[in-house]
Amino acid sequence: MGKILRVNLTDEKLRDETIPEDILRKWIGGRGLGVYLMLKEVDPKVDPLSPANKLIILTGPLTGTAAPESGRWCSVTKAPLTNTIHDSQSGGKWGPELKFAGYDAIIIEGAAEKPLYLWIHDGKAELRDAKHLWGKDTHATTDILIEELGDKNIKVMCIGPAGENLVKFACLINDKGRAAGRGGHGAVLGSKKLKAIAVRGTMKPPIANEEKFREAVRINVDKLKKSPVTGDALPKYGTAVLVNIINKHGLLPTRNFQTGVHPTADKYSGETIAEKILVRKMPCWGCIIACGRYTRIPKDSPFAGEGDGPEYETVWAFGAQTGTDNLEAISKANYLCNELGLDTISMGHVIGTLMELYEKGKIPEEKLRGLVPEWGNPAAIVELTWRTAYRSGIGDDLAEGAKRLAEKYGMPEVAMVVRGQELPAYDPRGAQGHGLGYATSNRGGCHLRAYMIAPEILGVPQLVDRFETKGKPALVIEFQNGFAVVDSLILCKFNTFATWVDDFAMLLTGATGWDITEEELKKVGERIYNAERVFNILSFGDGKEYDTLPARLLKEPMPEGPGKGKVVKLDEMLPEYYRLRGWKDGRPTREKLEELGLKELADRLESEGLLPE
Amino acid sequence: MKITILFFATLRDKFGKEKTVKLNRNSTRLIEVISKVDGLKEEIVEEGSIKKMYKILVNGINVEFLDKLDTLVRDGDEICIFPPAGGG
Repeated sequence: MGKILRVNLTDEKLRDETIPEDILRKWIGGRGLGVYLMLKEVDPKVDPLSPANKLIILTGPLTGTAAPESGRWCSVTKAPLTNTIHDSQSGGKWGPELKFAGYDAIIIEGAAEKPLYLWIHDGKAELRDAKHLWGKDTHATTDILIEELGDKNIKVMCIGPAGENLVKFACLINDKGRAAGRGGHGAVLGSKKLKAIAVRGTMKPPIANEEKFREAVRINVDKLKKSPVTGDALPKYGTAVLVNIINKHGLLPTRNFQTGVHPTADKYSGETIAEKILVRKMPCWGCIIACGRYTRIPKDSPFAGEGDGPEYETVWAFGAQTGTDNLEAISKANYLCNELGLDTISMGHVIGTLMELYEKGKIPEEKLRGLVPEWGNPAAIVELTWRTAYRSGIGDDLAEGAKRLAEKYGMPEVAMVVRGQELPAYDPRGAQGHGLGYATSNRGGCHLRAYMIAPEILGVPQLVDRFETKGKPALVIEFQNGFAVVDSLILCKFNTFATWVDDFAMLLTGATGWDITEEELKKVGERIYNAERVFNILSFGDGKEYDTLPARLLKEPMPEGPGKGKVVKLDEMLPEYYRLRGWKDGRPTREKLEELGLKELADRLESEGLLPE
Repeated sequence: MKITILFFATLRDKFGKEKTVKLNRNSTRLIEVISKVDGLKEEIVEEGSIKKMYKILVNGINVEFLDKLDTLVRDGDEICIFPPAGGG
């Protein structure tokens, strides 16, 4: 781990660099290393779509090894949707191939005059003209590059028209259907005119202690196979197995979080997908779970299509969030997002925002060109996806995200966002801890900084009372720190239904030879979380004011279902959260930062008058 | 009284999407309703308790926070049973 390719698109110059081992031990790789490099090299006040922003592609020390579910990679940048530090994680096969091609990470800086793509193969890298690719969707781009480069085993990561058009939630798509989805990383690459990165390699990642590593792999794989979650439900039904679980618990956000129950949700559940449209499972590289889906809508349907997905978040975003239960239309919108390069969560979510604005009479007819964005209109969700990718008509407003859309049309209160990023598929009035996780997420509305649904709904590792606030801050912090580790190694979070940081420490020790303990690894996670908060403070003055939720979730009781009458009691949890974190008013103290070996960050905050006293 | 039990994920293979249980009283304990469906008790109960990670909801509330298998169930109540499952 530690071989970096630096790509300057302004000069069109490439350079190999190495990260010192002591830095790697402090930040691991993936998200952690990305956060370190962004703080080191990028002014947090930078415009995300300017050449001064950087986008860093990273693998981790476990990527492409025998560690279970290690077929992942991530992108770290300052996100245009949120203005926060932002990492976005993806699966598929592209990440390991980058490793096999001889690089652990790519730092992309500057901006090209004309469209380019990057081709990396067995330790060699070159920039090539991408004029013939600009304007093409992600599938066409992938097919053309594989043909042009003459090897069907080449893996491609690219942006689609949405990224080229700087849609604020445009994503990076790899292997035609996997996404570094959230935050608008696709727009950052679009602003730099880097269309694609093609990789191919035959170099095996080194393992420091083969015997220790093999034993650690054996223990981890054994736990995964024995878990009923990873060994049974996920492979059979995919992530959308959650639809009925979440709906019956009454926290499936429906019609823009106006309620938590969608009576016909079973029509787009994992069970129904398996019954009606599933073609085959789609595992990522080296995955033994195989939660991924490949589905097809028949040719006689007005929503005919096929491709990867749809996942739980996607069927929620185009389903309950828009009041739609038409699985064919939902799936079609999903395929389009993969082809056009759009984050499915934000896309569906923003359509729901538009629908509420329309319901309340806020959208001028002339912006819609005859479209009727009413709740439950299946054709509308497909058309609005197209319009957004090309910024056409109302699509130009949707492309700015829910917050800017709602503000423009005079109802900012209907933007269900945190730090400008649209909330995903769980209404936190039904799970208090999950609400705290949303509010304190450094990258905006996100269910994966602290997936509190695991203990509060699924009973993993233990069931806790979802309507209680007591004890939740400590759990949220444990998850946030632990998942920062997972995102740095990089492993799939579905490991965590069966294994945790103690198991990962064994894998990392074997792979690197570091003899790293669970405690040290958890400290790394805490370091990453604090460093991210510092970037945000320097970027826009992040702190207590931003650790909050939309008023609907704090003040409007859930109107129906098992969670009827509930609001999120954030005020009961936030003080304890800050106390346990060693933060004051949402900002790390000098004491905490120095404890984590981040004195220089404390000094930076102090020099700008942003360090809490 | 009539109680509807809804099944999800892998439980649908064995029990179908739903079963209706009829009993000649106004309320009863959850374990008695479960015992009325062939094979269900063996599937989800072990040593007198609900198997780990199985979720039984009565009207959307996990019975672990009610009276577990002794939870009182009334006419018209909806019982949902989920096997261990996860996602993201």
